[in-house]
Amino acid sequence: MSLRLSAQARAARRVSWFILFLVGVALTVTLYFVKTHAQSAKRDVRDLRTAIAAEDAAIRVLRAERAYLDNPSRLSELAETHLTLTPTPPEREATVDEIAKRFPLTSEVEAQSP
Amino acid sequence: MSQHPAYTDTQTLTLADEEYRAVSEGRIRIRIGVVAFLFMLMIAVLRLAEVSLLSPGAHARDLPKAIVATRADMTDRHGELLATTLETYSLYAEPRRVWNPQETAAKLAAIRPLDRRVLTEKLSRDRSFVWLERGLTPKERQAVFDLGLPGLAFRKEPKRVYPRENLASHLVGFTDVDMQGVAGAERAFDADLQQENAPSIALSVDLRVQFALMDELAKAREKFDALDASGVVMDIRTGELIALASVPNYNPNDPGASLPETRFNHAAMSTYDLGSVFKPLTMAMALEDGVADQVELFDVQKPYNVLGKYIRDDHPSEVPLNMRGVLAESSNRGTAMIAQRIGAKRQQHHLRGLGLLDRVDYELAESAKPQVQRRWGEMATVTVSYGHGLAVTPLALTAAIGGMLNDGVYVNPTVRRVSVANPATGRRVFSSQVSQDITDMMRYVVTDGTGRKADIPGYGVMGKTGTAEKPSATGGYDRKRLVTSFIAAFPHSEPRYAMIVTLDEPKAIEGTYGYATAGWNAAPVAGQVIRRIGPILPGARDTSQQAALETQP
Repeated sequence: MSLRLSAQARAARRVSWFILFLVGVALTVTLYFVKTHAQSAKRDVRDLRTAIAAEDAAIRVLRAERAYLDNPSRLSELAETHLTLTPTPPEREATVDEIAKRFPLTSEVEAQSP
Repeated sequence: MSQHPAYTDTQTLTLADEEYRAVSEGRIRIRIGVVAFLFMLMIAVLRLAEVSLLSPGAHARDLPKAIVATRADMTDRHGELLATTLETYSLYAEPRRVWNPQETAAKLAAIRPLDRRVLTEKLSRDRSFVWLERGLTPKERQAVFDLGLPGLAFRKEPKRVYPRENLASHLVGFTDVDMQGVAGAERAFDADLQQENAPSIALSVDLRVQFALMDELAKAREKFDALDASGVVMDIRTGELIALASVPNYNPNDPGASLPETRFNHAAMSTYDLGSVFKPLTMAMALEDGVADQVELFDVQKPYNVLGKYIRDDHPSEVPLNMRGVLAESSNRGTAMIAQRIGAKRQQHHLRGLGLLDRVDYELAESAKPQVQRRWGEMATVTVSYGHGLAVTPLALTAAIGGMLNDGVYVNPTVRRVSVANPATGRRVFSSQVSQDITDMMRYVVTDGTGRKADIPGYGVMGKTGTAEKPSATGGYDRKRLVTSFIAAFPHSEPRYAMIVTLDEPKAIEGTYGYATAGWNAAPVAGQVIRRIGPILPGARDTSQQAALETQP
């Protein structure tokens, strides 16, 4: 009869069931470890993100502080008390064309010739 | 075997039975052990599977803490910070956990500007929560933290911060406690700023130009004892408002502490009869419509009567003047004659094109509607031609003059930096030739007319003064209360910038010979501003060495 297997075949089937079971257990255990590892990696990511957010906040504070410190009104006051410099008045500005007109090329040639 | 087969059989059977029982018992025990072992193993495996595959809480635990609601930054056109959002710490107490209210209050009052008695009272309450101070910086938080007092704790809260304080307050605006924009650009760009991960918004303002304008306006307001002073600097090619200032101003970090009048943006919200600064527009209209030319002489030396009223000239010319002369001497009579030829209908058409009959169409809500005469007859046409009877904002006039000088193309003002995403939009209002003619005439006003005090060498300044009397409470105009303006543009070679300086009720001071007119206050202030901003602004320098008019007789 086909349903009645020999003792040997029955044993073989039992062993293969057992092996399958072991494989299942092994896979589950592996998955568990992989998951645990992934979770700790996620925790690291979270910590890093929190650290980045904190750094970001610090950068914003520093930027705001810098903006506050380099306010034109404050800088001009500081410049007046500590420096002898003032902004260049328009009278002392000239374009290249204006300089060329004022000091023509011919005079340069004359100056160079002995 | 044969003698007692039954006995032998029985013996054998008995023996077999006992053995079988022992073996069978052993097997049962083993099976029970195996089943128990497998059961335990299954529990362990199922639990592993459950933890690995089906644990919904795992993700939530791994997310970073919810970030506090934020709002994008605003910068000037060069990326200088104007408004930002900082995380601040708000200090609260849990009075039930405070050990010694007196000692806690004393220590806290020593490092924070808090009243000791109020603190003691708050900390002694039988409550679980009470606010002590909001908006602490990280440094201040650390100082409180270092006291090591039990029962005190912090809560993180976002706060809008304006590091430039008063500098561009009317332009940038401010937010309410819930970080909703309620004024200026904060209000105009509220939706954009509130979006998640929104990029910072670059405004059109240049901080350095803004400072120069504001500084000079503040000095002028003090010097001439004016009620208020306002000014605008605009790039007429793109419509970008490089500076927009109004003094007095306020600190947007604490708008509640400021007086309401300081929060008023006069440059965009106050409408004035601006006076003679309108005259160049009238000249342009006449040239555009071909009703007058630059050669014809107008008899401005004689009294001129319109509908039974004499048109007054403050400094009447003794000789007839051509159009350029009418503008340079700021003759009301000459302008009236030209306006009558234009007519009410065409005048309104041009004014509408120049945006002077409606609110300035730009992003800010701060934009006042002009006060337009209901009955626009011949008299109105004449008075409007020299800036009376039509009250507009300084901003509106700057945009109109800018449109006239920008090759005749009016560009809508904008407070956002112009880019591909925010392109300039314009419409032609005058022809190129008319624009060029007016450019020359306005240069002449500065070199030879009423605007000489604004002539800054190298920048080819064009301009026009305007002194208007304020309407008096009893009807008519009040000769003592003036609004003086100077509208300027530069450089003459390729007009790029238009600006206005308006002083509300300036007084005559020492050195102005009793005059409080625009040529004595608004014009020199505008000149001083150009002196400071000219070297900063790209394309501000005049490239033609001799202005065309200087060579003419």
